[in-house]
Amino acid sequence: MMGGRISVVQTVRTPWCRRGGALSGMSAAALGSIATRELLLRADVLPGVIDLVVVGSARSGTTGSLGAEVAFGAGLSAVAPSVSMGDVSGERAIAEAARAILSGDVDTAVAVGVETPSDLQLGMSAPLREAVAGTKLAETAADKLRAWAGLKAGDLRPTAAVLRDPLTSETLAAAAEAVAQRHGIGRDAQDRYAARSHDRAIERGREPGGRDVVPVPALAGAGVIVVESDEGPRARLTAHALARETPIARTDPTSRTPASIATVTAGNLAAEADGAAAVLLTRPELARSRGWSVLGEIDSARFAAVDPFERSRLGGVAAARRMLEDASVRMADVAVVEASEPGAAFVLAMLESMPELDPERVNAWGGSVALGRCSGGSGVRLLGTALRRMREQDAHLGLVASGAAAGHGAALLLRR
Amino acid sequence: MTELEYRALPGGRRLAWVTVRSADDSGRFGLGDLDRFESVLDTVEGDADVAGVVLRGHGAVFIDGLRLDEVERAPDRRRLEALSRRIVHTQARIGRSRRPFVAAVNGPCLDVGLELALACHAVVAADDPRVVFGLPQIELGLLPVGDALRRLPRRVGLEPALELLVRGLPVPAAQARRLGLVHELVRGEGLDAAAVALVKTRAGSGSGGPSDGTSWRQRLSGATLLRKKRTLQRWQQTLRADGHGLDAARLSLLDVLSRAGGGADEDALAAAAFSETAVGDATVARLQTWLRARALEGWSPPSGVRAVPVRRLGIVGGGVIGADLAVEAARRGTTVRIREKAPPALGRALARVERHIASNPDLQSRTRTRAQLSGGLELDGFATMDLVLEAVPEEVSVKRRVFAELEDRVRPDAVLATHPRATSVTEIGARMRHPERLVGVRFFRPLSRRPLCEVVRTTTTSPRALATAVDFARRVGKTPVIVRDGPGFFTTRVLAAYVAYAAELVAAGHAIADIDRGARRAGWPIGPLRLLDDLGLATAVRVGHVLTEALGSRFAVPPSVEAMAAAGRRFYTDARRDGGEREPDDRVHGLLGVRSARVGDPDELGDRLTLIAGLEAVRCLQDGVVGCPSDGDVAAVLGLGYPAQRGGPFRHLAARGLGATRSRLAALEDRFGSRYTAPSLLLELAQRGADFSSLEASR
Repeated sequence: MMGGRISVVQTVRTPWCRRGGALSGMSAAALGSIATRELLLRADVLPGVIDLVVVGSARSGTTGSLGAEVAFGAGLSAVAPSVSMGDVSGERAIAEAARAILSGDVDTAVAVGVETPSDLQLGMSAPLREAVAGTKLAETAADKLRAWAGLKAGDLRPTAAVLRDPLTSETLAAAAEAVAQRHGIGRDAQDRYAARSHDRAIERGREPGGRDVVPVPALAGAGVIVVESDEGPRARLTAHALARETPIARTDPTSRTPASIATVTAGNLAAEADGAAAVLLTRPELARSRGWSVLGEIDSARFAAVDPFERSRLGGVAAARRMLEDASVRMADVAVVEASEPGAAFVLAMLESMPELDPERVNAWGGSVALGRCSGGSGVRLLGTALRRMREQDAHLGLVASGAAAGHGAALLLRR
Repeated sequence: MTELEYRALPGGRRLAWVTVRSADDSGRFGLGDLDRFESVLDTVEGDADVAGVVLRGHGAVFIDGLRLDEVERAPDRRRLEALSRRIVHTQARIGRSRRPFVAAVNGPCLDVGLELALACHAVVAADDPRVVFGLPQIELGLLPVGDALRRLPRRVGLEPALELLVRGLPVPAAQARRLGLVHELVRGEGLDAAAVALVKTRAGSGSGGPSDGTSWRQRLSGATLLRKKRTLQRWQQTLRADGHGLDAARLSLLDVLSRAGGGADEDALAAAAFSETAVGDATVARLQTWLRARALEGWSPPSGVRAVPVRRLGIVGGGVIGADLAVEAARRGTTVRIREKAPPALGRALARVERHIASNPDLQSRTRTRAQLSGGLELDGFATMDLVLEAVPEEVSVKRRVFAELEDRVRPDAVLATHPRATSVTEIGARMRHPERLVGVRFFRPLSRRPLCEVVRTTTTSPRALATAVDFARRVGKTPVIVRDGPGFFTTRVLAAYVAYAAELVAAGHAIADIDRGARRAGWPIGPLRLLDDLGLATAVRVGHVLTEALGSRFAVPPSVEAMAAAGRRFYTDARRDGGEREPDDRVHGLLGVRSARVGDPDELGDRLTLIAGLEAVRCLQDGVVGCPSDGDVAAVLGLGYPAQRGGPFRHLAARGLGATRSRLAALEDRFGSRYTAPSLLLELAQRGADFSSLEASR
């Protein structure tokens, strides 16, 4: 519960582009700035009215001042903290901004979610790191040499981090396998869900009106290419075609899932995506007095921490249950649900845990399996999509539910 | 006025703190300022307690240059010669002083400012994009007023000195540091402290220690007379190839340099050269243009009318002008949004924008500019814009559609501007609900080198919209000239008549090279046919149609050239000669059905072309498009590149003599037809024995 409601004036997002795709030349700060600026332009709001910008990102941004970079780059001079909470960083940014408004600290705030996996940081291998540290500590030349003695040529290669849950050490694919096995979700169900996600995203992408996607001018060599649409969704992708994909476990030597029963493939798991999304939040009475039309209201926000080993990436279920209970809202009354979709298995597991939830209400315009998984950007995109779906269906209640690695989960209750 | 203060130094001595401040606060240094400066020097020199001197500018400038109104008004050459001698003398006094003089350069350090800085024993400059060093007055035909011809080569070497002296392009502080013009570069806040520290170290060492002694640079470059001679000859050749060959001031500068060091009285030589060129007609013409341009920038709206401060600018259409203007405005702190409907075109516009921004050496400026500028495919945010400028291709229906869209979107108090090529602003705004908020603005390519904004006022344009356009022009660093609306307004009419005539000359068999060479010898920065290639022949044909329909056939491009345009042909090939110049396309005449290129006198062709431009300018004045001759002169020189040494078409015609022009026109009309028919205004003035200056007062 937040202790009051917050008006959502407008939301926008950049296209979601696959890692190494059209947005790969953009930094997190640049992409966040574009989303923020386009948000204000779309809302016809002057930068001066923004008191606070909260930027959520799981891993992007290297300076510790991502928020300030985003705000300045968008032509704003607002306080701009950055927050990080894995795949629910965006929800966290929304909640921080909303709470600052409710506390009376600020009137109008922007929450931004951004992730640029293309702009990945390279690291040193563990042996190389030890050698460097050893050289610094060594007092004699001989010791310095010795620090490098055990090093192999391969250790000098820069390492691109394979993303693993920091607590369970599982990759996303391994977590999906575990969830699939625990809930008895087969390959076929996952592939069918994935095909549905693509179908719906494609269908929605064809409708030009009322979209939240803004075109992004992306540097490409010496030129600039205007990126207008998501790269992920594939037209006429069938479960049958997805069935030809090789399970990831079969090629991953660290996998603990026997290759013979592996069900998770690149086709039914969400690929990482570059993107940014932004939302303009204010007090309802202020929106009214300024004559701003609003998309809807955030009623509550709730976070949860569940056992990361048992309920990996299903924290959204717990957060949603507790939030709905506190708000005395029945799941059956929620017409629109937008859920994070790191893989088909996770959504199917969530549906199994919430039997009262009609699957047709979940991610009806496609999800991350089709669009790509943009960790920091996810929460703000889900909020924008949920509100637009509610507007289109004339629904009164909406829910955003997301799970992150390390057992974290988030939920937002929306009204209009 | 220049102020003298003292600051205590350890050991009971004092530091003289001289703030150079021009009497009118313009940052320009005049005779009164020189008087005051000399008396401050007397005071300091006579004070035994003064251990050293810091020279600093007031506000955000060091010294911007001489007061050019005084130079232009100087009754005779002797007065200017005396001014030059006094400045050289002042420099020598500073240099000889046993007390260290330190220049603390806080802003533009130009012309006489650089002279004084060169005389100081040390120069410390703020590391700020506004701090630049140079002698840009050569652009106006003025030689260095002081001793820079001697001091600069000695300080930085002959070759870099020539870059500064001849090209006249000021260099930023960091480059000045590399050249050796600046001894220390500090952050702005540290400037005063650094200057004091420099005085202390120098005073401690016992003498002012003139720093202009033989440096390694001097030993390395231009050390021998022979090498110097060769360098100067090479520069003379470059100048001729560049088309500056006619530029008397630049040639005179090289001449003085080549004669210096021969044992002559060099002070006298420099002062004589300065004063001689300063009173030359070419320089006076340029000075007048410059001064009139400054006067136009001082335009203020009628009382009670307030310009809308343009903090947010929307630009519809991301062509060359749209993109370049966006950068200019954003660089100065305006928030700019470009709308371009087609994604590839938006990409091209933003790529052009990014190239401009990336070429700016200053990180702060780059970061700020990027934060202020964006582009999109829709009119998002246009409801918050103070001014929206339409710069889409010249097609009345397209432009009208844009304004219909804009009127539904923008704030009721926002001003709308159109950037037309030839179509009248009234016609573009004919369907608007509120035509009073529409004003025309014309910028010129290349934007960085054409400092004019032609502001087009219709009969309905509100004073507020007009004031906003003028204010905006100044904000992006352009001189506003207000003209009355009509097809082609002023600049396009003059230019169209000029290029149409050039096209006719080609069709009549004259060689492409002759025509363009003639125009350039007459003083145009670029030949009309090269210009046609750059603007696009097809565009020129369309403009010709619009103006022919409205004003007469003198704007029509010959049908054979029209056919050439339709075939997408150009006057020049892409092949380049040794000098980097493009080769004229020899096949053009075959295409036009002319057997062989006629041999003509380029100078005569150039003169006739210039005359055609001048006649159209007179017709514009006659039609009331320009309010007065000096407005037309400024617009033609700054916007079109009308020969600057002539000071514009009206001044040029006056110099030719209106009576003489009338008879010449009669002769030309007999030979070549109605293009040369004298405008009635010219006949009338010639009849009365008056010239254009009599129309100046009617303003």
